[in-house]
Amino acid sequence: MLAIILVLLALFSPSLNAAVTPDECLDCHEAYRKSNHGKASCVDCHNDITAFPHREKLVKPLCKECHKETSALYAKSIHGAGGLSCKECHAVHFLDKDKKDCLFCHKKVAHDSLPSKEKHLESMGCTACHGTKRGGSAKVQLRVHVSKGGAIGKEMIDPDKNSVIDRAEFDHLLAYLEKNHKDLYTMRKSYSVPGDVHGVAKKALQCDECHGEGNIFKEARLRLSGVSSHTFRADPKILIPELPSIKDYKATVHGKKGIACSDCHISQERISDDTCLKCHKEVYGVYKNSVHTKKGAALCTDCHNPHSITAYREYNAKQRVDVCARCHKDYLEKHTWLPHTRLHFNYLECSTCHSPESQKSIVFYIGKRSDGKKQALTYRDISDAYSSHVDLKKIIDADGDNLVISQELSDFFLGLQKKFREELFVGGSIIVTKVHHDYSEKGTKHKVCTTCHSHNAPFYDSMYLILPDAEDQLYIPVKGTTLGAAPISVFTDLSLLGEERVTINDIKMLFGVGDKGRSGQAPELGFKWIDLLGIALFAIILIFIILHIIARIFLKR
Amino acid sequence: MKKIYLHPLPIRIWHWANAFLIIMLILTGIHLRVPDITSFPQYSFTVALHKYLGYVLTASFLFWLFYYLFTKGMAKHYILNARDFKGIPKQALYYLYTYFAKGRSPFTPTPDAKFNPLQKLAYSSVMLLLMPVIIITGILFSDILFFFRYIDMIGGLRILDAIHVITGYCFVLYLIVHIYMSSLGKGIATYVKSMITGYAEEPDDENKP
Repeated sequence: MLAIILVLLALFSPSLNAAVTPDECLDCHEAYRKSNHGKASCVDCHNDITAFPHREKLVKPLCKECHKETSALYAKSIHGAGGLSCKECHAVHFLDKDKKDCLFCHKKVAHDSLPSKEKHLESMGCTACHGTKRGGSAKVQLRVHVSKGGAIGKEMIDPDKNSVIDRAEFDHLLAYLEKNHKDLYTMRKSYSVPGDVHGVAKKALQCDECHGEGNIFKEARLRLSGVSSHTFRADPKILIPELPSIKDYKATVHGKKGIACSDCHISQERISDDTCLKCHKEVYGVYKNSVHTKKGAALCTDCHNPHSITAYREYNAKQRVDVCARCHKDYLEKHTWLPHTRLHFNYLECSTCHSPESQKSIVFYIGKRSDGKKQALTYRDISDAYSSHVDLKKIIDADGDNLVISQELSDFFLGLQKKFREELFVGGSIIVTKVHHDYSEKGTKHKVCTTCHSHNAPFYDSMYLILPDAEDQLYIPVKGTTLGAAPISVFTDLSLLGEERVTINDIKMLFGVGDKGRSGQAPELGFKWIDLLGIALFAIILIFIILHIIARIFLKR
Repeated sequence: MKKIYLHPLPIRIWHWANAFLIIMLILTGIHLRVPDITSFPQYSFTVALHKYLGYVLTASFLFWLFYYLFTKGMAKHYILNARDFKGIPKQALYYLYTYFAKGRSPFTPTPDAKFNPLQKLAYSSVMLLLMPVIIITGILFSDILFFFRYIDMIGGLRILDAIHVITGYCFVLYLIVHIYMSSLGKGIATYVKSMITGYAEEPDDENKP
């Protein structure tokens, strides 16, 4: 029986402490007379007071007992997770007094990485970017106030009468105002971005969340006041400008790696080399002491466009030359000593000579002839031909051993040719596959043609077949295959003087005593047969002449 | 011993100029084909030299062509007729056997027919086949980008190069035979002398190469 009474006592204890009125508390706690926390009375929070006199040491009230949702959000936020209690910001007994806003702690937040800093900070509160998105969508309103002039009709602003202002209508309105009400109108944008201060995350909203495709501003209004007053809904995109390079940014090398705008754009100034240096330290070490930096001539971004979708390695030789030619416009005039100047620059990039430590490679690509023009195959061409997504690497390396052999190559070419209606060909160029950023070598003193025009040229040791892939390019090493053995014979477009030198081994091979025997000769000889035949005929004729001379001597003729 | 005037002055000048050009073109051509064979002159210089010598050779060829067309010598001296074809084996036999047996050459040059059938065959092949081929391929090489459409029609730069080089080898082979056979006159330098003075000795048993 006693047990039942105790349980009942426990269950009805709130009603018991409800019996404790605030006035009773204030008898002693005079200072809290003006306390306010909504309609909550003292014992709503201090609920372990059931009778007077209460215990000296009371249990700490828990906010989350009432503010469940907010507390849960807060616990996950950077502030909650960092161990800050509610009281750090809220004076719980005097909610209307001592309000502490963000600036109370974050007094000097520079926000230097925020482009258009003043505009952003003046028009929006901290929570717009830092708070959790909760409670409705973001709104933007443009108020156009026209102080003088003729009335502006609704039909003029919204000719299609759908009550929504689109970009064309907006542009038309701006042009109209500029023409008819010049200097007599003002425009002011206001933003309302709901954000819960309790859910401040580690990372603020990224630029693209407003200025990209996923624009969080779902509602926009255009309000005209003054000589006429109308209100229209509007396309939010005309009021929240889209950043020019944001659309494709996710497809860029940097975007793919998850680098955010503000990781690099730490100020509105142009990106300095220090920014790039944060990640590209090793490369910069080489670049730092080179001619480009010594004279302060070029920043990283002078040559590299971090917003470009195409990675440098996807550039062909001509596109690479174009990068240097942005500054070195007179490169053709400077190379008049180089025979076939333009032709050289079609197949070579500047780094081949001017960055001597770069790794040079012969790269092959597969192209097609369409309308008499030769073009490298794109991934689109290939997926169209196979009418589905294809992984060329899997096709070319049929046995999946990461090694492409001659047989696999020829099977691949034959298979590919069957899929295409146009004639395919293999083209090639010599490009740098590993750039050394020291361009101090001007090369003007040396002009050594035999660096490339030699059978010992470095690029014969490094050969790749480049295939387009969905997102990148595949570099398939082909050194040691038929393609690599006689590279110049494969693509008839490129003739590199001096690339072939008849060696004793070639002659031995022809007679079946060489390293590889006669069976290997056909693919390995390439165009060397011309020299072999020429030398052989020369020798035969010489022998014949010598015999004739001997006969003349003996017969005294 | 009567002397006949066989080689008019313009042709003698053309011959030696042509000889100089062809030898220089062969030498520069070898350097082009084997760039690291020498470091002097510079490769780029050789490239330019080969090209300009080629232009001069083109002019020299055109001079030869028009000279013989206008003087109506082409048909007389270079175009092989049925009788010439019949004479080829006899002439070949002469160089291989009759010459040593101290026999007479089956052919005697006259101002109206300077060359024996073998000479006709060799010279017409060189001047009317090899020369145009090497000149045309050489001109295509002179500005690859400009002529790219035509080079592509031939089968690409590599094929063009093959044609040019094979023809070049033919010139080399022809040249050594030509030089050797110029020594088959009465004396070793007889034919060379006649190509300088223009006069050939007559009657003699032998003929020019």
